[in-house]
Amino acid sequence: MARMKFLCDTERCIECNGCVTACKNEHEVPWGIQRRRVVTINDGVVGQEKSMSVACMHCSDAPCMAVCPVDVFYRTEDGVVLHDKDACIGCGYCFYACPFGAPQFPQTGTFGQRGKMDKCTFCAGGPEADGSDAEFEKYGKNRLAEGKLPMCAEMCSTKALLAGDGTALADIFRERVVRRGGSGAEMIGWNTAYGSGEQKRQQTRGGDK
Amino acid sequence: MCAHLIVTLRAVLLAAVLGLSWIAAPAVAAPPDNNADVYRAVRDGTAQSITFTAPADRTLIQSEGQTWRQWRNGPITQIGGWLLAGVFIALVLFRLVRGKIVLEGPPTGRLIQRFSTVERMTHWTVALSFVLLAITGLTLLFGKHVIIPVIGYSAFSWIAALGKNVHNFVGPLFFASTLVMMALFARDNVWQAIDALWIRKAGGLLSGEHVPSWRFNFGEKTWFWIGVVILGLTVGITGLVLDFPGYGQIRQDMQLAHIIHTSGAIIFIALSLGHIYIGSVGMEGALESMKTGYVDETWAREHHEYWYREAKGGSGAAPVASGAGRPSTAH
Amino acid sequence: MNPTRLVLLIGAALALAACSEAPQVTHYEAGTYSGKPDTRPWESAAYGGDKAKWESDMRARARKQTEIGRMPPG
Repeated sequence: MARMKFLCDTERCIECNGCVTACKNEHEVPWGIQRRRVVTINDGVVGQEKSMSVACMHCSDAPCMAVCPVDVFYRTEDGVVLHDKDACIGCGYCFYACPFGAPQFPQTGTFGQRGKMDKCTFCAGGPEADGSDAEFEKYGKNRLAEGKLPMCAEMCSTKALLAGDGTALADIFRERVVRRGGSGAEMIGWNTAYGSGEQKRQQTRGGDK
Repeated sequence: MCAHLIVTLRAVLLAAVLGLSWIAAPAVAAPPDNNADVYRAVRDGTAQSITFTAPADRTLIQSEGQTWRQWRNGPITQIGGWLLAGVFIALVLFRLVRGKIVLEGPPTGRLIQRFSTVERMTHWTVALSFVLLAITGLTLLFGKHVIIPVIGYSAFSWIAALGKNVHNFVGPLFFASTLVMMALFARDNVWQAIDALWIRKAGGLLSGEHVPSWRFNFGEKTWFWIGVVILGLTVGITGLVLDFPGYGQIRQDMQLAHIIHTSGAIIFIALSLGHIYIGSVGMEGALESMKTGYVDETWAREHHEYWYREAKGGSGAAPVASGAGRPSTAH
Repeated sequence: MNPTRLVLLIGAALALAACSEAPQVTHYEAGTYSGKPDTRPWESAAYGGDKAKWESDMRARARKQTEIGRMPPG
């Protein structure tokens, strides 16, 4: 059974923003919304600059799910966190809770009211019929249903951004680390999204407390 | 420089106020998966470079969200729920023990004006908006546990969307009318010597004894200062921060504002239950005074004796209650 | 039972219901589906419900993301 994850190899990411563009184009994301973004730390410091592409990480213990007052989120068997835009009320709580800043809101209506939340779907669409116009309109393409992986990762020119089953990604990454000799420090964000072993055990025991 | 100071202050405040944090999570892991150093670097809250310039997105991982989640889903939902239930039960018990507070003497039929038209209109604007805000706010906080299991999330989303919009649009009205209310009632709510007696006798709430007071007794004054003024300003200001997101506040500001807003609102609602009870079914004549503006002389004498004597043109030695208006108007 | 008392009772029951410690989110367990009615990716026209084929396709696709093995040895 697959567990879909994203992995960004910061040793490879060259901050080209190809993933951002690919995502926007593939899903025809509304103006002002960017489901994926590239962040650089230590920008300009020689030898220490690292870039990484971030979107919704489809967390195991998803904070957005925990705080949504309307319970619009759901998770597929493959661990992809999706949401039902029809029920979203635009309260912004998921935006407060998300560590990665993934949920974004189009500003619609008076006084800068938030519209319905938009975030990365791991190219898995939404509750509507797979590949339907309604699904595309709200969530973008459903590539998983076509047997394809997310556009951002498949488009990545340096293959820094990987998407797919966590085990497969870990294998690929391990091979790379073995070849180039590294610490594994490139897997930024995996602990937050999927939990370290210890964290995961605690969460399973303690629930959401 | 200034912005940096504000960011630092905010971080200190959040850390101090919220206490709980992921920071406590152990950052030790065995090689070769040791990503502790970079991981710590991206979590320390400093701004990072990003091609997409939005102030809120200049960090890779924001840990405060987890803190906010723990507060909202933890103490605020649970302790808040128990607090409201507890106050409700306490009022039911009070009603059973004490019964309705009725007039002891027969009504005289002569009426005294207690509230002017402006005061009543302000009160009912505040009251109506407060009730709407309380219902919609509680729906957003507890609906997931109380309503969704009953009607399902799709149906609930209609209620919640309506609730959110009502909450957002009525909120500013509540804030404005509360400010007017503060201005109108502040003068008669300052401390007066006789209030000490009210405190000593606990207002006679349980004994049934009538404690003399000027226009407002100490119970009403407590509700005014703690409820209307302090909590009203607290939820009002934090509410505006949350209501109008496009004015420079970032996620961390809104998380803090939200925690203060919901905690304050739950205490506010708990206190208001007492006020609503005593002002409606709990005491004879109380609702009429705010509905019509007039009270019977017997009611005035029993509940606000000094104010009554002053209104009748009696001993005016002490500060005059402003709204006491016309003395005794017979209908 | 008069209506006022009934309303009070229902109100008290609802108010108390909020105090139960219902878990707000279920922790992810591999292979479990939590949530809204939605078609699974392998139920699409391309796969027609063949979950095993979809999974092997996804695995193959994931492996395509590495260049190791495609490079000449050495």
